[in-house]
Amino acid sequence: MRIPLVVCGWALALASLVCVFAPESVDADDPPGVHTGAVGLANAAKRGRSIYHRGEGAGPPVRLVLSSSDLELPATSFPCSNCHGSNGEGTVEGGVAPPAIRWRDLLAPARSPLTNRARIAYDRTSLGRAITDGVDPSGAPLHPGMPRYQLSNTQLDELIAYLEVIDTEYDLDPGITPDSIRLGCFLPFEGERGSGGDAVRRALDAFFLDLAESGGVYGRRIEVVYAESGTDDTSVTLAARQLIEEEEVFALIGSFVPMDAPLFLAYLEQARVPLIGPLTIPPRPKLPPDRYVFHLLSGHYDQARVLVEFAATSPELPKTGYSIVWLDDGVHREARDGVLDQITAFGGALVAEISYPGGSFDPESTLATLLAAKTEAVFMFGAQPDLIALAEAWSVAGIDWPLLTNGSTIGRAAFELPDAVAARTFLTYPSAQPTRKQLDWVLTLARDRELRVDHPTQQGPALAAAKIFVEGVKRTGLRLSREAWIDAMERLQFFETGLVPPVSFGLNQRTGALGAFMMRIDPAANSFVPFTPWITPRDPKQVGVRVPVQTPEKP
Amino acid sequence: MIATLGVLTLLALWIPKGAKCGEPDSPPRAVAPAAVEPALPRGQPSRPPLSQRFEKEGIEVTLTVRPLDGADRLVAGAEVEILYTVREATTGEPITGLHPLSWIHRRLAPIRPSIEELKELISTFLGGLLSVRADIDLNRYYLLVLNDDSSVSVIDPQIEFSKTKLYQMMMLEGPGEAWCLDDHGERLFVVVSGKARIECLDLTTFESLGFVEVGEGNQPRDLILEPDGDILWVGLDSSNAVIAIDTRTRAVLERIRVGVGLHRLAMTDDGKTLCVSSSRSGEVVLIDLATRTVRATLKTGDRPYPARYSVASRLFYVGHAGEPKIVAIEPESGTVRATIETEGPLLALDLDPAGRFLFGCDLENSTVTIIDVATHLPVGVIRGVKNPDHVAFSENFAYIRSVGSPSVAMIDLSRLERGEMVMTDLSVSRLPAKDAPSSSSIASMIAPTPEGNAVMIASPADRLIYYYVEGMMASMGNFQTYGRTPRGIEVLDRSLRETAPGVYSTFIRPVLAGRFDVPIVIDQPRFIHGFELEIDPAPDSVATPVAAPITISPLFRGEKVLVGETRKLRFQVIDTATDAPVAALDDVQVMVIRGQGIQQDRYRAVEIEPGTYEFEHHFPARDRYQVLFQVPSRGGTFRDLPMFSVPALSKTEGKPWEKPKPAPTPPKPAPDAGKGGRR
Repeated sequence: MRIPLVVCGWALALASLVCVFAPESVDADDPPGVHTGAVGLANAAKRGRSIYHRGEGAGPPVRLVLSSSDLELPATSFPCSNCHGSNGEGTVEGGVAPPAIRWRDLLAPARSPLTNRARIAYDRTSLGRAITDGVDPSGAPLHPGMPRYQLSNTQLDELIAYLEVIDTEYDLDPGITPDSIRLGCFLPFEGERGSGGDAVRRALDAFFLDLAESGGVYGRRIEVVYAESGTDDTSVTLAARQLIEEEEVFALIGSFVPMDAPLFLAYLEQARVPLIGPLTIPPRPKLPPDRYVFHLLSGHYDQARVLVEFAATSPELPKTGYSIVWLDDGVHREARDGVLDQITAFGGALVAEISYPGGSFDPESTLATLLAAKTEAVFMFGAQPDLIALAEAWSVAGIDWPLLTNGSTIGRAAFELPDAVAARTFLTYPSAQPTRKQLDWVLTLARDRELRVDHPTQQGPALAAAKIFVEGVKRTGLRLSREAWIDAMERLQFFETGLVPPVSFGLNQRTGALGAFMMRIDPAANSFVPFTPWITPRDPKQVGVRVPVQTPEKP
Repeated sequence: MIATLGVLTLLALWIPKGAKCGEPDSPPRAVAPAAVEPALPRGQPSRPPLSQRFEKEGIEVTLTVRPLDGADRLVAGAEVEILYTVREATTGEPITGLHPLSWIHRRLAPIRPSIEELKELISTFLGGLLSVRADIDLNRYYLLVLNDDSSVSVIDPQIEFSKTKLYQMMMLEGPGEAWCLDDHGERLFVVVSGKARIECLDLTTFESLGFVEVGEGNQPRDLILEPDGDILWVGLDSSNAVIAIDTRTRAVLERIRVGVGLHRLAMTDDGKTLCVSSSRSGEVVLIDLATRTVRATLKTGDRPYPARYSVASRLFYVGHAGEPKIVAIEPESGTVRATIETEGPLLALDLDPAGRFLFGCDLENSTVTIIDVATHLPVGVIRGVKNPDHVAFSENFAYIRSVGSPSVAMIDLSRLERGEMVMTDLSVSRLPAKDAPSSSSIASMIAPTPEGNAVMIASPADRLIYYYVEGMMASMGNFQTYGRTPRGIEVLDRSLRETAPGVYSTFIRPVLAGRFDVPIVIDQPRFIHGFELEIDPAPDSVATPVAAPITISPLFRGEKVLVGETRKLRFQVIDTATDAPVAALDDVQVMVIRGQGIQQDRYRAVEIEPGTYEFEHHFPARDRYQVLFQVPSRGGTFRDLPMFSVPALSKTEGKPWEKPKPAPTPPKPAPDAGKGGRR
């Protein structure tokens, strides 16, 4: 099927997914400071909200004591929401029934379903006593399961201020107002990467302006606030903190996240703010994955798994004699792990595994080792010159091994491969192959908003992320919260944007389009040719178990 | 990881003062042993607690029984909530999306059933035999059918081996026009317009609780319940009013003036605001339900009529019979948030369960417009329908009922979410509804079943109710309406429903007292257990026997019966009060049912010794044979007395399994180079 030119252009651009935002090594000098709460005048109810949901607020740590004991525990282990529900609606669990504690419930007299004892209505004073001393407004002790919380007077006032508004339309996460939702995006806008960052900003602004002019979602328009970031873990974390704490954004979108970003991920987890569609290549998914980061495309690890799936099923490729050559650094180690894990789980004989330190690749000796091991197919992950050098070496020797690697690893250097090797080279392509019809909305947007699409590699996924974010808001309804939006994302199945493959998330699934297409090289046309349907790699049951490498037989 | 309240209770109750509990930062992970099911030796009659937990193979199931009146024990006749909490044992994570099956059955044998006996009991309940139904089946649902002849039928779609599925019939003073079930499925309110009354029916006993007179000529019609079920609002079409009725006392609490014309009612999900349309005066009135006063009156257009509330956008939507538009009204402020243009006027509005998609039916022009409430933009217009008058929903599909066609149009809701309108025409009835004009009402004619993927479709002209399972090409079967023309259908769900993550519950009102077995079966992950309950007799009950005065002790238990044998089986009839065998009974009857009812034999047992009786039965095939007993003179029926299962085995069973000798391989034919082709 002939793919129209515009789509070819997209495909090409998206294929060179080394992308402007190649990962760099991390240099973490300073751990981030302790989170001390909002800057400036804090809304009492906002702090009370934090106490209710997370057991912590501004000021000294909140602690609790269980009835009939003096055992002290931090309130973060038993926040109110765990028992009384995230909307104060109460729960029933194992024979106990923590009641609903919304303001309208507290202001009414009630009868406990458990003890059948009646109580009169609460007022602020008696409510405070319930929280700190465990007695109801009539003075009778509450159920022993209710802890006695130790808070300062201010914290108590703040918690009660929140209970006044819980489960009402005022009970909103930061970044939401009746008219708007605020998102944050941090990117390099200066320096050599700046043009990419600027392109993303123009794309997101065009998208959300379009949405605002058509009425928004549930009457809310969406605006994006941008922050300058560097490309290392520390600067990225600082940019995120600025957006979350100072600008009080509801969620993060797009953004540059280096492959190794432990500080940033830890901060996001603690702040409980979701990030949709980071524009950088995702790292290997953890088990369980980071809850708050939703990746759209597969990274090196999963793409490498696709290579093995493809090799295992393609009639042109051998099923034995697999060798891996890899540059020993974080990025290429992930790819190598992907190949190994998939071979371990599903078979295929590995005969050689050769790693080399950066800058010291020796094609001749590598070739010799590969030959001695009776290699029949080569999986290689390294710097582009290294791949070319090895390919040239074996091409000169008249060998016709197939070469398998991730599309973004070799990029446009693929066209420098010797013709014979190029004819037997197979690359992953983890993004979409849209028809013109599927791209219609983007082309219309670009035309109507005069958006220059000059960095499709970043603008494409950014627009996809925007569309997916809006879909989550639509499915959540007017009562939007971060957790409700995450729940909606986890139910998303095969959602199409045209710019990335159909996206599905799940309870523990945070890679939207898991898998890739396979591409061949057309050197005459200087283009890549996708030639397989989408391949989703099977899930290895054992991760991390290595198959022993067969030592080459002595001749 | 959520630290449960159980953990707190445990720590509060069990840790002595002054004890330290290790790392204060890591919450204790132990699950509360305080609520462990007591390991009763068989035969011990100690009262089972209201909360019992059992763990097996990583699954933890807790049965909680909660008397609604707050009592600390179960009493016959008192409403009880039954909850099963299902969790992974190690992490405490609730396991959602299950469909547990459970029953409550009086235990007549003096001892607790073994796991084998429990499995037998479960398999008989699953078999659906009329004679061995559980006392309380937690998996049932009934169909309620509003008929045009002053009656409401209760149909049990699950009875097998019975002539009729008609379970009960409730009579009204006149034909019902509209109706409303309360949330718990305990009460039904039916508007009998011609008699100007609202009838209140008890769905646990299927009897009338009384009625409310609203005054002649007032023409009550549309009705809606406040969320806690205590107050019912009814629109009076001939008077310009709505009234509030206390459902417990059946007193009219309030009468509020609204506009002139026909009224439709809608309510916010938090029970704060009522919206009333008045078609003739073109008004929409918002009523504050806390104070029962009018909060706002709006003039929205020409003949506002259908009204609904969306939980997604939290707005009221009012369609118009006189002009092509829908207005979206904000409940608190009464402001019009949006005006949505449609192709034509609308007589009905319906929303999917998530409140996201608004379906507007234009009966006259035969179109249905679908609006996405997130953007208030139309998704599309369905045209392949003939006089659509309302839309019902299962979890996955919208079902458009058209008066002019025997077909039902199905719209895939998940595709709608992706912006695609995909319609399937479902051929159900033979005749269109318009052939049965007496069926006209505002009640829905399509009801989803509790499974989530099936619907019951009432066809008034056919006088049948069709059962359609999604994915099938046609209905799976149909139910009689017993000669009556249906005007409305509702499903009365008596099954365990997931009311919170991992919590499956329902309400029951036990009628009998005694000790009960409560088996529960979960299919995936596999879990079987038998809990138990003790129910006290009602304090003012006439001396209904707590247990049958007799029980059966099978002496044939454990005997191996072979296929083809004719065997004499012996048993004793035991007086439960004295534990002694009862002699000289001359009406001891035995019924033996083979398998699931293939064959049934009845015998009169013969007394061979005082208290010991015998009958003879032939076992023709390898199967399970259920043996049931009846002694009418002592009040023991086939239903009440325990039942026992006898397997008939073939001769080779029970012997050590022998590896069959390999059959000798035939010699390979010599290859014949001349022949081509493959075998």
